[in-house]
Amino acid sequence: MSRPDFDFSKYVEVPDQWIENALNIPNTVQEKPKIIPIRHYVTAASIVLVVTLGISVYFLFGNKSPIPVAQNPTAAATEAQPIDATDATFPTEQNTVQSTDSTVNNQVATSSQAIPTTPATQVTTDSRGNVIPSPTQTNDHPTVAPAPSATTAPSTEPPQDKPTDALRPSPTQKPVAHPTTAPTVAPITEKPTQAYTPDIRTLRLDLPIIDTATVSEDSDSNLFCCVYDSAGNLLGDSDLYSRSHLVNINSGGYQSEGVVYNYAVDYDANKVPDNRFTYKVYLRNGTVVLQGTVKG
Amino acid sequence: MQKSYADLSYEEVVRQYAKAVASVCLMRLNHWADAEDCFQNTFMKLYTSSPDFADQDHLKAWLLRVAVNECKSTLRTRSRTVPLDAAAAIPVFMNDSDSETAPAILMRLKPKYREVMYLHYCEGYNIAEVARILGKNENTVKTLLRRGREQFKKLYGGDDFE
Repeated sequence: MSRPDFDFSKYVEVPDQWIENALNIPNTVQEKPKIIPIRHYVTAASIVLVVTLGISVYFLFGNKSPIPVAQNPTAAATEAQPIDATDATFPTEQNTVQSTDSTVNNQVATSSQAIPTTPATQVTTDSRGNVIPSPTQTNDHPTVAPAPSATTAPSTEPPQDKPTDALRPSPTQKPVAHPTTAPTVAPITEKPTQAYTPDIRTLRLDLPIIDTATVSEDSDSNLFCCVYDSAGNLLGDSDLYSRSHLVNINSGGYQSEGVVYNYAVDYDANKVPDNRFTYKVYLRNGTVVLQGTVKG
Repeated sequence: MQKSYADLSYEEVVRQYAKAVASVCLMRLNHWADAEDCFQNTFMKLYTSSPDFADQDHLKAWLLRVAVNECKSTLRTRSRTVPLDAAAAIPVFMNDSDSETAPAILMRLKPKYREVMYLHYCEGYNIAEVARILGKNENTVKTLLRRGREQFKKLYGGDDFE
């Protein structure tokens, strides 16, 4: 038996029709359009939307904060700032730096104005005559306390009817040595977290309180003063009845020693060119006896 | 000198490897119509997928493997759809008149022996290449090849080939 011949090609003849059909495959095969899933469209649309919103917000606000930090100082300084509870909650800083003169433009309060008050607490005075809050009086920021009725406010009486020694310390308010002598200026309770050091400036108010203030003998003789900058920020302690806001009265009682505020300018000083401040002098019961503007 | 694969156009590939692909299909299916379908499907996959081949041997091996897979798929479909009565009327590639030739005897073997014998003796692939084309283990291919040879000897007679 001979060796078998496995040459298959001798027996297989590929029909020409097969080859023609195979050659026509490129003409018959149509590439199906690729179907992109809907989620791809949704993803792309979301990305485009987010980018568009981001760009639009950037062009609307830029580097400016959505919350205005400093308003136009010229417009705000020409009129007295109203006192409300929100103003008293602005945190400020105090320092021991003393400074120079200032001019005071006083004007008598034309009407009684109630401001947030805290319940009357027992106070003591230190060796220098400054009123020190009792230990029960905490440093918590005052909340919106019930305002005293304006009808009972002594400011409604004419100023000339007031005794001149109404603000003189009573014998019961003689200087008493406080067991823990508190510093004259409240310590800094909060340090700035910014890398830069804010500009520390000092505002001294010399108030002719006795000439204009209307303080009755019935009311508490302690006078307080709060000062707002042109942006409406409260200087000094946020507690409107803290010792830092207490007006020092000299022994004669005819001229006050005024108050001194140290405030930090933590924003661009160029935005506060005039350094105008609004001050208000008020009693412990909340009656505003004096208000005006002053240029620092 | 053999042209590189990159120099071949689709038409040249079809004309050059049409006989090899058709032989595999006919040998495996023994049916003209089904073999033509597998033939067309093989070249359609070549055109649509356009795989990257290293050389022409790689291209030929890829075509044969695709053809074998197409034949297997056709056999699975045909076994489910064609009744036994109709199977007798199916035109075959080789009939009994060619019984004396080696390809005719090869076609009488079982398909699993037939494709191994064809790739090894007709296309000249070694056992490793046959195993790679068929997707089988080399030892399996050796076993199938040995058993196919034994059956072929019984039908063809003699022991002149190894």
